[in-house]
Amino acid sequence: MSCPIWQQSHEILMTFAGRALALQAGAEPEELKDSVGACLLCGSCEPACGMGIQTVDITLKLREALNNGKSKDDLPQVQLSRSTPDRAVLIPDTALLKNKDLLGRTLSLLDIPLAEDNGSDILEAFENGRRPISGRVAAFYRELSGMRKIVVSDGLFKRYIRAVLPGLEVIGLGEALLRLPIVRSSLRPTDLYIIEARAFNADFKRCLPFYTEVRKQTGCIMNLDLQRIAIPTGACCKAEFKSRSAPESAKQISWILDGRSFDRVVAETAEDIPLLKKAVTQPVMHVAELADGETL
Amino acid sequence: MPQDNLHEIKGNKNRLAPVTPDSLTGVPRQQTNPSRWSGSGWDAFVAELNSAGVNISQSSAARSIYITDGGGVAMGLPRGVLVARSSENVSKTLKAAQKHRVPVTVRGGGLTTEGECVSYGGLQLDMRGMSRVLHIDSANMTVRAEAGIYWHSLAEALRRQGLDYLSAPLNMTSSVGGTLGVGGIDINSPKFGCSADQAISLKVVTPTGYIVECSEQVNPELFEQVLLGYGQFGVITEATLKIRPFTPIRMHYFYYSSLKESIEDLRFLVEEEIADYAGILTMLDRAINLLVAFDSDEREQEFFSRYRSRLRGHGEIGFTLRMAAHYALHPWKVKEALYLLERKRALLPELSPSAHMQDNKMVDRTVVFSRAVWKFWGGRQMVIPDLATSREKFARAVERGNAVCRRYFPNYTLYCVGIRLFGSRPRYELSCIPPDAQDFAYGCEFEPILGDHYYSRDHLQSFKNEIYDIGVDMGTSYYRFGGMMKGYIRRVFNNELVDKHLRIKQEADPAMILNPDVIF
Ligand SMILES: Cc1cc2nc3c(=O)[nH]c(=O)nc-3n(C[C@H](O)[C@H](O)[C@H](O)COP(=O)(O)OP(=O)(O)OC[C@H]3O[C@@H](n4cnc5c(N)ncnc54)[C@H](O)[C@@H]3O)c2cc1C
Ligand code: SF4
Repeated sequence: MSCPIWQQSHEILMTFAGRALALQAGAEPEELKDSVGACLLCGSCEPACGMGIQTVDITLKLREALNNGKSKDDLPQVQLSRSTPDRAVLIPDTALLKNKDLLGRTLSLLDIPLAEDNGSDILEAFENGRRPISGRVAAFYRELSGMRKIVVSDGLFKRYIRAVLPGLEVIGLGEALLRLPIVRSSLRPTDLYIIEARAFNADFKRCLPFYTEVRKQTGCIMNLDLQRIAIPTGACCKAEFKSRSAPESAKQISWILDGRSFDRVVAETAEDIPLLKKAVTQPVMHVAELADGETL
Repeated sequence: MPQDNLHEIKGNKNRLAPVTPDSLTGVPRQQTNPSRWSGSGWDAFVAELNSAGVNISQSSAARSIYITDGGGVAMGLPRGVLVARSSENVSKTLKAAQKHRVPVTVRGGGLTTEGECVSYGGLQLDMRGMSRVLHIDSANMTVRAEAGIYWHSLAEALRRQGLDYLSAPLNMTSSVGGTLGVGGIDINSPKFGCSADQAISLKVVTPTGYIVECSEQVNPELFEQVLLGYGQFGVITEATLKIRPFTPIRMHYFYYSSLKESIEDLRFLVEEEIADYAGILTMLDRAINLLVAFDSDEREQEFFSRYRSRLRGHGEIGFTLRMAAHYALHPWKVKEALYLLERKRALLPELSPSAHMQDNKMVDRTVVFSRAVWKFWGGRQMVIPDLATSREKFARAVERGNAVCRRYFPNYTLYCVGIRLFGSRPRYELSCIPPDAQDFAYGCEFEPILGDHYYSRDHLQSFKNEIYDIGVDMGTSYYRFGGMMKGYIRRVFNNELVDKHLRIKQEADPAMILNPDVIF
């Protein structure tokens, strides 16, 4: 029900549930192209699935099948050395990378360096079921394999990195910042806090108690539905597929805002900010800016 | 039975389509799937609708997702699918279906368990394409919504305004329209009645394609026919429902080892209107849990000061000690004891998950219960036959159903609720409401825990039939059934009553195209 495609099309075949039923009945990926292409990989259907199905992985496999691409299983498994140094790094998405001011604040708050390679081409290939340029993946992972913790601003990276570097701590940028008392204590009960859905839903079991505590402690409202699944804005999506049912971010945002009252919007993703600014008259800020206190 | 009479309606003889034979005499009780429709009018039907701008999907992927329902036992494929988008396109569809005699099977959430919403060769009309909330009137406490909307989505929209529906099935994917047609029981049904009793007015497309607004004041006959009418007398496209302020609820659990005592106590709570929510949930017939909940602190305090001492249930610690003593004296039942312990360990935390609790109150009962249902009882097949009875017959019906469960499955659950009735509304006739119930009816679901075991379809269907047979024998009803009713309808209700409704159906639906094989 939190599926943005469902929310906007109300057509079951366009959702993961529809794809799964059709596949069970013998449908070919080609017949599900529209449905597979529309998916935002937001993962909202994953915690909602009573059977514990890895919905996003299946959709990614379908995209690979449509592209005749290589499956994630073919990726190199990078071994972490036993004496992994206590190092962390931030992998920013392109929007954050471009916003030098915000990036600077974020890095100084987290007190970690920036990854030299933000792997955006790899993530885009992954998202679209394409094979990345040969050699890129191995190079990217070589840099990461020396890390203990990786902070990602696009939650889809969580799934990707974990598949190749199991055992590494990968957390979303919002969560990393909210762990800092200076950031968390600046959230107000009248704030609407927009979680980056891909990061939250990919790690639902661990993120849910964390964000529940933040919600209870600060009194703010969040873009969670009644199942406590994060409702995506869809802004991170880089799907290259053409689909008649691809959800529109503006509609998603209007659904998130509908019926909620708040004085300020705080977002975890830089990409959400311009969209939110268009939709509301209240101030909109990035979670990293919370640490600047009342002046913002 | 005077079978001929069933085909003859005065002055209407020529217009009538034959009634499917197995709704008449000698109904095969094991039958689940009706035969597949192979009428000749399909192509002309599709062409007519296409030219009227209504597009039917005929791809195998589009059709295949409707192969079964929540029960997972009945299987059938539609020839085409229409995702409803407006009352007008439903109207065009039904007009064309009458003309070309194409069966139309309506589907909301698809959570029936006997194949009632499964199409066997005709058109599947998926109402979920009409899922918008149209208007929330917090001054008059009503909401108008399209009927394909899931109750859960309705709750989502209402909650943003501090509001809630009154009562609805405890799962997240049943639709408003599908539920108003069959019943809809919640743990607060002792207070609010079944979901169908929340409806204030409806927009209905009749089987011949007329779009009609109806309520107790306007077109009351249609209103009463459609509510609890198993989708026979029209497609509900919009509904105005009563709503209420949202309240988190405080849950309490009392434990019993006697079914009879727990049922007596449930009846006491229901009939004295002591609790806002009440129900029984068991593990086998050994660990019986009476759940009691309140919308307000005042009601909760009143319960504890005035009524708690009259309940025979124990708190968790007291009950655990009694169970330990029981199994110490019956060591050969150690397997059962271990099962109950494991079940309790796994289930109880699921009933108070921190994300859905606020100041020790449960915030989203539907989410909590629905998740628990799918996690602990769910699977590819959901086998949940039920009985709905008058207060006098309830304990006996549950005991008999329990004995059947014991014979068929090692592990199972009983789920019992009370249902408030509002006088003798016409909608109650030939419905889930037992004919002899007054003021309150009671329902019990018999839910085997299938787990990873494989049971044949015959085994599951035989189990359900044995439960339904108890209803025939005791003169009860069934609280949310449809398809199986066809095999039982004349056994449960008398011929005269069934014939009366059949005539109304034949008048309203001359080609008998709307939801065929469900009850007629
Ligand atoms: C896991 C599970 C848990 C359940 N829990 C409960 C519970 O707690 N309480 C309870 O009461 N029931 C419960 N049920 C039963 C189920 O929820 C009810 O049958 C449900 O209310 C049906 O709603 P639906 O939208 O799924 O209807 P469907 O199954 O889609 O349809 C029901 C009937 O109505 C017809 N129909 C559907 N929509 C319309 C419409 N708009 N207009 C006219 N006819 C229509 C269909 O053709 C069919 O005959 C449960 C079922 C399952 C599988
Ligand atoms: S991943 Fe998101 S968009 Fe894709 S099917 Fe699941 S909920 Fe819908």
